[in-house]
Amino acid sequence: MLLANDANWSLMTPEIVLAALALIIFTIDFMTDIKGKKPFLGRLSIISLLITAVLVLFTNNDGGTIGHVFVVDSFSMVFKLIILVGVALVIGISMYYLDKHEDIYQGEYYSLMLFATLGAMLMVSSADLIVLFVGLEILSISSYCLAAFKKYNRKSTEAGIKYVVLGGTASAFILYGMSFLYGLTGTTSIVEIREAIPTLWVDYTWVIAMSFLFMLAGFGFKISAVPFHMWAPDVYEGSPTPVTAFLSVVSKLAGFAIVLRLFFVTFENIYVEWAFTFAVIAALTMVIGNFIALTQKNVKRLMAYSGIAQAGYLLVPIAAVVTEADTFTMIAFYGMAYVLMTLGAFAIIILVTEDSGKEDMSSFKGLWERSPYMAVAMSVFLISLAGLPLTLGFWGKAYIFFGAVAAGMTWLAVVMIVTSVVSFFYYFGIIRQMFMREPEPTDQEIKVPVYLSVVVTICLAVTVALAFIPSIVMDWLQGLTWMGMF
Amino acid sequence: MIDTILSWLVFLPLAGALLILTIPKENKNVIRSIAIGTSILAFFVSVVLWAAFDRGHSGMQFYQVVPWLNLDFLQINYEVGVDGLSVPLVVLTTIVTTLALFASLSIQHRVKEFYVWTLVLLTGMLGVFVALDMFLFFLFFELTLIPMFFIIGIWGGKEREYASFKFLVYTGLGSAIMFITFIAMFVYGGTAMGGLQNSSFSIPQLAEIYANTDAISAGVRGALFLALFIAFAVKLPIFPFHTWLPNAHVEAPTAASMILAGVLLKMGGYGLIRVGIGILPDQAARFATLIAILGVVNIIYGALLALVQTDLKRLVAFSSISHMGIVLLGIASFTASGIQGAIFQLVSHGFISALLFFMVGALYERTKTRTISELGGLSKSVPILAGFTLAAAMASVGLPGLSGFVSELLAFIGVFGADASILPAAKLWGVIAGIGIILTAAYLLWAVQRTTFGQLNDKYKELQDARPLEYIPMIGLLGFSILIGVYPYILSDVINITVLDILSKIGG
Repeated sequence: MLLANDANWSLMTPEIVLAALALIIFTIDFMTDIKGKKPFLGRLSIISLLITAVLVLFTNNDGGTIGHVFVVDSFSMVFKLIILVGVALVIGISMYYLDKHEDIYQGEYYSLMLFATLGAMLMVSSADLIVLFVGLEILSISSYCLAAFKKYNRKSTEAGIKYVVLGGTASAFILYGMSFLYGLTGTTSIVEIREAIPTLWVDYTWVIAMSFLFMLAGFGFKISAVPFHMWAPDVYEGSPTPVTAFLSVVSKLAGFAIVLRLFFVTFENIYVEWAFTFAVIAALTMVIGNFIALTQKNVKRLMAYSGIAQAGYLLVPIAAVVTEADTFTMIAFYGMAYVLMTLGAFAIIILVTEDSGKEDMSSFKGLWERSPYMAVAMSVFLISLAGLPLTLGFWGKAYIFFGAVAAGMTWLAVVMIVTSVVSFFYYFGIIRQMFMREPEPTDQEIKVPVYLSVVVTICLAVTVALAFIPSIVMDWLQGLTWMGMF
Repeated sequence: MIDTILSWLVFLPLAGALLILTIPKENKNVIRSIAIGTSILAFFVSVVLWAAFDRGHSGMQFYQVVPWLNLDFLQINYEVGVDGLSVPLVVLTTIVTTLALFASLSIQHRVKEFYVWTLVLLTGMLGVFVALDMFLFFLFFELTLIPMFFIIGIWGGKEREYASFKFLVYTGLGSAIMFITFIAMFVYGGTAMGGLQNSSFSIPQLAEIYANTDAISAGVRGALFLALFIAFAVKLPIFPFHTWLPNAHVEAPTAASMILAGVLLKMGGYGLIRVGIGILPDQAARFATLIAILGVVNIIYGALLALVQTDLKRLVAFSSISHMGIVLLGIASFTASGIQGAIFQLVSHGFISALLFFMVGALYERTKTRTISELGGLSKSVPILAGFTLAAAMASVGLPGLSGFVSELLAFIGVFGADASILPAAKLWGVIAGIGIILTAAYLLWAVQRTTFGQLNDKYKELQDARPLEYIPMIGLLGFSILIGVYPYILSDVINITVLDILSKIGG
């Protein structure tokens, strides 16, 4: 029996600090006027996230667990870092958006963002089904609120409701799946369940399979894998654009982290039984995401389908494992690349759609004439998302591709590369608008706000620099012990 | 410095592009001078390379290798080197690009970007011809894709956006197949050597691995070769993967058409010989008949379609398809003269097609039409341009004394002397291809006759003849064609030992 006094609470330092800072921001919001612009809260949130990121990076490097429910290892460290930096970038692009929209209460926005992050961090570190679910719900409920944040806007409200109903259903699926495991093993610890699985699989094959499939459906919803992706385009379109960025990056990667943790620990011993399911889902996700993206005219919907397609690429290493460390490295590396290029792209999408007041692809018309730097940066992000060399996205994709071939899943690798070529159409469609079409006569030069331009510059610099020296990050990731404790 | 000459050569244009980025876009003449200056400098460097190249030495020269990315099972190097196959193509690239830049002086719209993209393109093309690591080769291959996409899409004709997307997707698919095949080759190399860490992306090393192992079955090798063949077929282009070419060539601005036909297509032929035959020589020989048939189909099909074109530029574009068939035919013979003919044809067609596209562009600029039936009698109003057009057509037809003749002759000698165990019914393919060559004479001379002779349209009486700056590309391109035509030794001297090297692998 673990007593509270015996637990090594210092392992939770980053989470505790972030929770405290989020509450402080929450309180400051109360103490200041309810409405109005609060850029200081935005800055404070970014600082809080960066402090937390530093704590994640430099404390508890040896890892450890609190009673096998909360675990700190290099796996959780890497994903927490990606999530924290991602949210910091999202807040960087939110500040401009919030200032333009009077109907958003700024203080609540920032604290909800931080609570969502906290939930994601908790999820990544969980070694117990209950903690996992609590983290997931903190993230999800905050996200529901964020999606509906423009409360006088019909589409935003619709997005919020849709997200609550469908997200709640997905959570129910996850819980139902978990209950089977609990019923069979009498424990919620994923380590203990893992040990019980091989014998249980022999006796209760169908129960375990059902449990697996229920959880797969639930988590598939969170990472927007086909066929559980239907919510994404509507919610992405209706949500305020920075929230869309948050959902497509942070929620998704947290979902991936938990899929890895749960399936690679709990179900590792029966990997051969379920690997193919993931292969099919990955293939479907890539094909459907990319092909439907072709028909989209709304930029946010386009990014939703692009995000679905990217989730498909990220699923490939789960289905085609060379070694587990390689799978984690591939997903972490491509996840990092995905965060940078997607958020960079979203920053520019916010700039352009806010300027034109519509979300149609044609708002990018002639961006090259109106803001050359943004047009070039956007092209780099899009080319990177398309996976053309020399970009960060290329290395990430090449690495995953290589792993798939090396693991003997050549057909999946072929699907991946063919759908990537399909994606040229829609990514280059935006590039065409920017470079090959003239701007409207009424369009003027776009003024770029500072925070936005900082975010774009950071994303651009890393995307380009790491394209030439990807080995710095890859070597570091490959040297990690990942889930060494299990 | 001579040891690292290849790196200097490849990255020189990129440096020029970066320099141009710092110049304000209003200074058009400064930008043009920098671009042309950079390409001329690259040309001089390539001439030094040509001169310093040791003709008696088989294998790679000016070899340079720097480790780049090193993961536990994946080692990618920056590895460059040249042999007798790459040196002529490197020189061709710098010449055609320099002359194309002279031809682009009439571009007034978004000048700065145009030259930045062209110089990036030049880096990509040179990189393809010197890269020895397959991964690096692929990166440079892709590096040519984006500049060309922009050049066609921004400075092209009416249907430019359609053409640029078609180009992007077709060549993108080709590249995708290439990438899959490269990685599969690497992985099979690893299984043969007992672990991926023992495999290599280096073309010479991988060739060594493939030559000395029995662990890779003939079926796998055959599949790999066919996949490579399809990948490069898109670029070359080989029927039925050619449909992007007429759109891209016709819509592209003159300078880009010159580079496309003059250099980019050669990357396909080069890749086929360097990677396909370099690593899988036995499979290349096994599929000799297929290559020969596709070569013949290309020749005839391209020529027949050229015959019915009403647009002069489309006609030239289809003639490119037809002429690339000769490259395939030469390769398929697997004789010294056949492969020499293929390489000769790559170089010769580079000059001639660039000249043809230049002439079409120059005529279009004056008459504002490319429709053959609307032209006529231009030799009366623009005699010099008409004369060069005729000369270019003659070179393309294969008039003795011009480079086209030498390459076709060599290829045909190769085909008729082919070993029956490698290429059965060689003479049949030779004869059919010969008919295609007659068609070439028919469509080109007919087209020239209808445009430059006959009744002069009144609209075109007051046209300006060649401007001084236009003489540079015209004389340059025609001059090199004549040079190779009357003194083929200058080229065969360089490629000879490499050709023998290739053949020894097939025989052994």
